[in-house]
Amino acid sequence: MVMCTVIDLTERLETERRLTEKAREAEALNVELARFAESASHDLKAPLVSISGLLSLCIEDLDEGDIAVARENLNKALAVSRESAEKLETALALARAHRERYPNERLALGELVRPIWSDIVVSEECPPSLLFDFQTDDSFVGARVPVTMVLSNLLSNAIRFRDHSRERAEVRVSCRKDENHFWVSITDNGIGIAKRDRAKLFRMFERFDSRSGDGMGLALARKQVERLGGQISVNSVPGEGSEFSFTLPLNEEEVR
Amino acid sequence: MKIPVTVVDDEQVDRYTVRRRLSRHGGFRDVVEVESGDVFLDVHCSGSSDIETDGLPLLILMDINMPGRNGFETVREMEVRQSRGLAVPSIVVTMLTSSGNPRDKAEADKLPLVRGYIEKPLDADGAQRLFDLYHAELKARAA
Repeated sequence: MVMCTVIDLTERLETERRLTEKAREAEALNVELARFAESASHDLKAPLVSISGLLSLCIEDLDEGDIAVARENLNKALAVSRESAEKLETALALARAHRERYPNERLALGELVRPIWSDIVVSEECPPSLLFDFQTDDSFVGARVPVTMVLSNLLSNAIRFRDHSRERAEVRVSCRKDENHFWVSITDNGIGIAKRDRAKLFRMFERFDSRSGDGMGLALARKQVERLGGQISVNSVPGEGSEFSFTLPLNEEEVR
Repeated sequence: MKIPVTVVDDEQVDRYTVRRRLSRHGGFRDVVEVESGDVFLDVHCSGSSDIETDGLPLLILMDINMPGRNGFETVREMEVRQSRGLAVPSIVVTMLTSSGNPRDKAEADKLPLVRGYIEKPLDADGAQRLFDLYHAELKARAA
C-alpha cells in the first residue's frame, strides 16, 4: 500500500519571500539611518566648534579692551549660528519628509516653475534664460508642496553651477508623458558633474564644490520624489551641462 | 626662527581662528590660507608655489571634511605629486578637524605625511602642541 500526502507550499513560500524582503528593507533603512546620524552629528558639530573658537577669542579681546575686534567676531559667531539653525531646519524637513501627507491637486508645471524661478533669480545680476520645452499638456495631479520643493532645488542648482565662461547660460524645463508617468527634466548648460561625484550626489551632506549649499538639497529632492512614487536621476557631461529628471506616477484618472 | 604655515580649510571662520591663535603664540609666520584641498593641489602642488619657506619644512594644517577632495584624499595626492617633484618638497602635515571620530584618527595614522591630529577649535594649548610637534619633527629629521 502506498500512502501519499500533498501539502501546498505556495502560500508558505510567498510568506517567507515577503519576510525576507521586509528584512532587507529594514537593513537598508538601518544603513541609511546610521549614515544620517553620523553625517548629521558631524555637520551640526562643526558650526558649534567654529563658534566656540570665535567666542574664546572674543573673551581675550574683551579682556584686552579690544572692543571693536570683539564686536566683529561676535557678529561672525552670530552669523554662523543663524546659518546652522537654518540648516537644522532643512534637516528636520528631510526627517519629516516621509511622514507628512499633502493633498493631491491638479497642477501645471509651467505655472509652478515661473514663481519659483522669479524668487531664485531676484538677486542675480544676469540670470540664465529659462526655456520651456513641453511635449505634452503640462498638467498633472500631484502634491504641490513636495513638487515645489523638488523643482526649486533643481532650478537653484542649475543656476548655482552655471558656467560663467559661457556667453549664454540656459536652463531648460521639459516634460512628457508615457503610459504611467509624467516626466520632468531640468537641463542646464552649466559646469557639469564629474563622474566620481555622481554616485554620491543624492546623499546627505555631500558637498562637491565651494558653490555647494548645505549638502541636503538633492537628498531632500530624492526623498520627496520617491515618496511620491517616482524616481530621480541625473545625466551629466563635465563642461557641457547636467540634466536632472524625475518621474511622477500618473494616477488612474489621468491614465484613463 | 618662525614656522612657515598654511591652513587648508573651507570654513573662513576657522581659518581666521587659526590665524589669530598662531599669531598670538608668536612662533609662527603669517598663515597662508587656502580654501580647499583641490585649490591647494592646483596652486601649490603643480610644479611651483609662491609660499616662502626658506628651506624649512612647511607646516600644513589640513581640515578633513571639505567639498571636493577631502583632507585625506588631498594628502594622498600630495604624496603622489611630491614623489614626482611637483609639490612643496618638505612638509609636515597635521590634521585639524572638528571630527573626533576614531575612524578618522586611524585613517590619519595610516598616512606617512601626517604627523599629528588636533581637534578644533585651535586654542593656545593647540598652538603650543603644533609648535612642539614641528620642532620634534625638525630634530628627528636632523638626526
